[in-house]
Formats: sequence, C-alpha cells, structure tokens
Amino acid sequence: MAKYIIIISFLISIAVRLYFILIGKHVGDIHLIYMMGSTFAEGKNPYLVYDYYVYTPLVIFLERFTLLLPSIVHLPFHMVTKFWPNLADFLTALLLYKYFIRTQVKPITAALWVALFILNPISIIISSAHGQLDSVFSLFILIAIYSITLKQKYFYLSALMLGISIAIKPNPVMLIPFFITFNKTNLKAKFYYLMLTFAPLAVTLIPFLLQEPLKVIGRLVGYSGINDMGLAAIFRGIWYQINAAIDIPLVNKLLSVNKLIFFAGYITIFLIFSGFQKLSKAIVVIYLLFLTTYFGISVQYLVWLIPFAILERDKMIIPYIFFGVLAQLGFYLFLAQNILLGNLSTEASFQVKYIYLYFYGNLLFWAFCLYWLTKIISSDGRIQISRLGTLRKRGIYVSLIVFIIFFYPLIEILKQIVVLFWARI
Amino acid sequence: MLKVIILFLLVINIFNLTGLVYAEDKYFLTELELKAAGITEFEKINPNLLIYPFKRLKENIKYVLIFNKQKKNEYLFDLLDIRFKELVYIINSDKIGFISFSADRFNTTIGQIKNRSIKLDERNNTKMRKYLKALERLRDRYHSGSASWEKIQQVVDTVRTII
Repeated sequence: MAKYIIIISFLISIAVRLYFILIGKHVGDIHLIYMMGSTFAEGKNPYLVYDYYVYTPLVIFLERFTLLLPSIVHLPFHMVTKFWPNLADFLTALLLYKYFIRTQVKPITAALWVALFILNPISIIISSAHGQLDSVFSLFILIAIYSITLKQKYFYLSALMLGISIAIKPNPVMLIPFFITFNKTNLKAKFYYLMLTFAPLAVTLIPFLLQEPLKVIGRLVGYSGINDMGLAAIFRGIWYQINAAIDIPLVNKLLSVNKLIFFAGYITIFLIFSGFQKLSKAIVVIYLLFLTTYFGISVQYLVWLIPFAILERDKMIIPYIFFGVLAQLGFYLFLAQNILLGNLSTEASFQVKYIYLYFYGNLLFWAFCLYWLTKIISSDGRIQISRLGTLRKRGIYVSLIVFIIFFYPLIEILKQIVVLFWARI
Repeated sequence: MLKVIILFLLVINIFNLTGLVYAEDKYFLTELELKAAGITEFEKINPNLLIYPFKRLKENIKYVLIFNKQKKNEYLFDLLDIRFKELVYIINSDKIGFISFSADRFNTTIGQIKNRSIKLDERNNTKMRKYLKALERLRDRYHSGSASWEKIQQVVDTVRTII
C-alpha cells in the first residue's frame, strides 16, 4: 500500500510539474539565472557585471553547465533549468521516506507524509513555475541532518553537505550554530566542522575573486532580500490604499530595523534550542522566526521549512501550506502573473483586483507563522529551558530583553509611516 | 490563533478608519454640483480600502437573497448609485490608480441592469442624466486621450447605452 501511495503521488506530481514547465516562459528569475550562466560562459565575472543580486558560485557553475543542455535535449533553457529543483524535490521525498523507515515509522504513515511533501503546491510552484533553486539547497541540508542524526560517524560529511547548501544559496549559514552544537564534541571538532561548512563556498568562489575580490564579497554578503512577502506585503497592502502605489515607505529603514530584530530573536532562539535533539524542529523555528520578523522575504523562501516540518511529522505544516499557497497566489497574480501562468498569462501586473488576495493571503500566512512559532516555543522551548543551567537561562532572559528593546526603533518608524499615511489617505 | 488574527484585523481597521474621509478639502466638483448629481455624502468604504471586498461580499449576498424580481431590480439601481459614489470619490480624491477598477465595477453594474432588460422609469432616467453630467465634468479634469480620460469616457458611453 505504501508503495502505491508513493508511486501515485509521484506520478500526479510529475504531471502537474510538467504542466507548469510546459506553459512556462523565460521570465523573472529564470532570465536572471540565465544571464549569470551566460556571462560566466563569456569569460566575464557576473558579480562585477550586474547590479542585481548574483547567486553564490555553485549556482553559476550549475547554470553554466545547464546552458550546454538545450542544444543536446532540444528544449529551451527555461525548461531545462527547472530540472534541477524538481529533481531535488523528488530526491528529498525519497530521503524523507528513508529517514522515516529508519526511525521506525510505519510505512503507510511514512508514505502519506512523503505524498504530502511531493504534492504540496508551494514547492511545485517554486520549482516548476518559478524555477527557483531553493529545493536544491534544502536537499543538501536534509542530507546533512540525515548524516548527523542517524550516523554519528558522518559528522564531517554533514558539515560538507551543509557547506554545499551554503554554496548554492547563503541563507543556510543561519543553521550552522545548530549543527555545530548538536553533538557533544570538543572545540577542535567544532572548529573543523565550521571550516568544512565554508570550504565549498570558498573553493567555488576562488575563480571570481581574481578581480576586485572585495567588491565580489561585498556583493555576496550585502544582499538583504526582496520585500515581497510576509510583513513587507502587509505594509505594501496598507500603503496601496492611498493611491495604488506599490512602493513601501521608508523601506530601507524598516529593513535595517527588522535585521536587528531578527538578529536579537535569533540569539534567543539559539540559546533555547542549541543542542536540541530535534534538529529539524530547531531549523523550523529559525525559519519561522525569519518569516515573521524579517522584511526581505521573497516568495521562494516559503519552501524552506517544508521538508523539515515534514521530517518532524508536525501537522501544523498542513495549514502552513494552505496559508502559504494563498500568499503565494496573491504574490504571483498581483506582481508577477507571467511567472506562474507563463503563456496563459493575459493580464499586466499590479491589477487592483488582486491586491486583496495578496494582502490577506500574506496577513493570514504571517499571522499563522507567528502562531506556530509561539506554539513551538511555548511547548518544546519551555521543556528545553527547564533543562538548562542558570547561566544559560539568564542569557535567554537578557537576549529576550534586547529583542524587545529592538522593537523601539521599529515603533518609531511605524509612527512616521502612520503620519504619512494619515496625511495622504 | 483566532485572537492573533482578530488583533491584526483590528490594527488594519484602525488604519482603514483613517481612510473614511469625506474628502471635503479635495472636491473637484463643488458641493452644489455633487448635490445636483445626487451625492450628499460619499461611501464610507471605497475601492481603495482593503476592506472593500467584504462590502462587495455583503452586497452580493443580499442580492442573491432577494427573490422578488421587482425588488432585485430596485436593488441593482441602489448598487449602481453606490458604484457611482465610489467612482466620484476615487476621481475627486485623485486616486488615479483606482479609476480603472472603480469604472469597471460601475460598468459591470450597468451591464447587469442591461442583462435583466430593466426599463428605466422617470426617476432613474433623471438620475442617469445627473450621473452623465457629473461624469463629463470629472472626465474633463484630465487631458483628453489620457488613460483616465478614456476610462471615464467609457463609463459615460456605457451610461448612455441605457438612457
């Protein structure tokens, strides 16, 4: 029975994904990725050529390779490049099943969770319509978890896998402290682990550092994200009421302040959950904190926590997917219809009728993420805190106070926005 | 979770309540002209507000629940009046980004009236002529040929089809 569930869910997923790939167009991030690969193929350094954010080096190498494929398989680039994230989704599904079976989960239960993963619309849309590569680095994080939790001897393999994920996109950097503190190892082992996680990024970055290395590094670390989803979408929706303007007021100030809030919250979460024996749950907590407090959220970030919540068999993932899809549809229909609907897209962006789905979808999604985050902290977090020593408990309280203090500048900016809003509405 | 959602909806509504202005300082048409067009005050919820879909939902539910044909027809004219006030509010307060959306809503309601083959009585005919007069004045606020001018002209043409 379990096998049938997996086979049927895989077949349905393949059919839906193929549909999105076939109607897709060479637009949005696909075009940006294409430009990164083709510029590199011309012998130029994409980090010095473009003013938009150029992904970490492994993506450039991958897309350089992908550029060779269209002439071999006789398919356009925008179809070929989507092969990687979709492949990653299926490999993630298989790995999840393997993990469940190894942890004594009943095959039928495991198969149902795997089906939920492979059929979840958020991942399907991001991988096959948007063509983003976030599923690829998530796969490597999952391998890193698998290595570190199920096979203690693969401690350093886990570091390498985490490093590969960082070489694909830099955001898994925020997970490093949780991996390092997962096992009770000495300082030397932790240091080696840390070095190994940065090795793939360092090695693949070398060819790009030959010219203006500081500028290249600055471009890589200076990216703050795009203000499209979550809090940014809520602000945009409120501001939109004035005269259908999509620009968010004081956006740079908001972004800077939210970085501080996220950082302070991160320290608190780390103090609570470092060494926590449910590593994937700690990852879910960090991603939830990111989704609720950070301002530069792009639509593809919604896929990040899905495999890890499924690994934990946390049923909250079901409403997460539901609200996430609402927010996601709102985003595409309002801001980038041609990415989702490809050749079937008939309307220009920024149609007033879609602002409601964009706003309420994101509001519900954000509120749900906040609820889920609070729920985990008040259950698992409370148990974890009760096990900690006095010093670490004090650290948690101090970081919590800092976290609350960091809301003050945000309130000041909000006051300015309210005054501007009041004057113009 | 419900509490969180309610709290945030309340916060949003605080923002929205600030938007319930009557735009007295921004009138393009004078108060006298507005009264001549049948507008004594604007709608409290206009298409620029995020709570607008809930107003439309309420209207649609009411429309579906009216079973008497005559009353349904009368309600359609009430809705047209609401759409007209919304459109005038949007143009008057210079919310150009919402003109197309508001005009489409107005035209759709006229389309519904036409689909039901409703014959205009004297009162509604006079009302339509008042609408026309006000809309033409509002249209001329924009340069002829501009997107807003053309959209309002489209509304004027649509009103003329039912007079």
